[in-house]
Amino acid sequence: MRRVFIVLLFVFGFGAVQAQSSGITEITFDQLLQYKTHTTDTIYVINFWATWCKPCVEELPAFEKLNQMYGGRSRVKVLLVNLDSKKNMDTRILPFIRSKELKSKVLFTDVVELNQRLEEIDPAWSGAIPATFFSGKTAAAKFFYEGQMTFEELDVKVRQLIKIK
Amino acid sequence: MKKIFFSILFSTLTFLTAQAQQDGYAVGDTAKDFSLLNINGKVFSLNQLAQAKGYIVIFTCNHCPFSQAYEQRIIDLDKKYTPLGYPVVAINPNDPVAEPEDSYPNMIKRAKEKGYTFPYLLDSTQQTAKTYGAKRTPHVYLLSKTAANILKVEYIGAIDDNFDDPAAVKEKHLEKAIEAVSKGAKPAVTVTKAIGCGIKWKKP
Repeated sequence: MRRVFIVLLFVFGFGAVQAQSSGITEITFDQLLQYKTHTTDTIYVINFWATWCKPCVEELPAFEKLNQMYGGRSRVKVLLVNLDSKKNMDTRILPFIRSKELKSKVLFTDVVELNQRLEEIDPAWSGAIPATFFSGKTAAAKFFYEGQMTFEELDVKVRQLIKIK
Repeated sequence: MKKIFFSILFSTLTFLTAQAQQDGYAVGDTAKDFSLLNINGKVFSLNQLAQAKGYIVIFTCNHCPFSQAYEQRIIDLDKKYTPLGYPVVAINPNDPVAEPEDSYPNMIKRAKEKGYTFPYLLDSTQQTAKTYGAKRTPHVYLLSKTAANILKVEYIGAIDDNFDDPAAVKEKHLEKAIEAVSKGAKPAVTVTKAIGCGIKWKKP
């Protein structure tokens, strides 16, 4: 009986994750910034992308692999922040997330608002995407990179940041 | 094991070199003129527009949605500011292998379709983009020109603060900078940043 329960829990739990992952959560810039200023032990790997951005789309599988590898209860959390235009939410963004079956958490933030405060994410960011911000607890555990990344590069960086207290 | 070590070492190294790329011009720097192929088949340099007081140099391209969103505004800027001595000069820095939509034939086609009134140049070596420090499209450099024909970088950044909706623009950063420079003043805002399409660099 207990076994059946656990199996059921697993099935439903999995179902819930699946449902969540095919969607998108809209957040304000302040909410986005909390992933930078957080004081938890989590290492957020925050990737900025758009459906029309070819190199972004090319590197998404690397982030998905990272999410799959660390996922679950690990300290490493992958966040895919979409920067398409909001008017394309139903026509482009959501169909894209569904067709690619993205499992990482997808967030949406308004580019016009983001543009005003780009510096607050990282002063080194010119505004070009793809761009990725790694955010551990301390300043030493934060890292910004503008450009495309491979899975190996992501993994090396994450392993490095995990060691930093 | 050794193999893994080297692959990690190698990716760390490529990572570091990518980070160490030079950053190009800052506001106040002297800018270099360039000689790039225009869509009319001729080589264009800024000094050909000898009567200009300065130039609105815009790194842009065909494929990028942000460039497309700003396309009409770029045409309007040229119409408004060429008579005032600040013509638009557009440069496409993208590698056409990485982005076929930004090939030279496609540049000619798009300029015709949209009625570009300004030079649209191909930075085939990407050297001009690197010298200026352009990272994304669109990426604007406002240059002024002294009596001795020296080009000075006055403003770097975005055209305005709302790519999505021209009607909702609150700050016309570039126009404000041009107004200041044309009066011999320093712009109040000299650098802005905005999300754009990363320039498609040639693979080494």
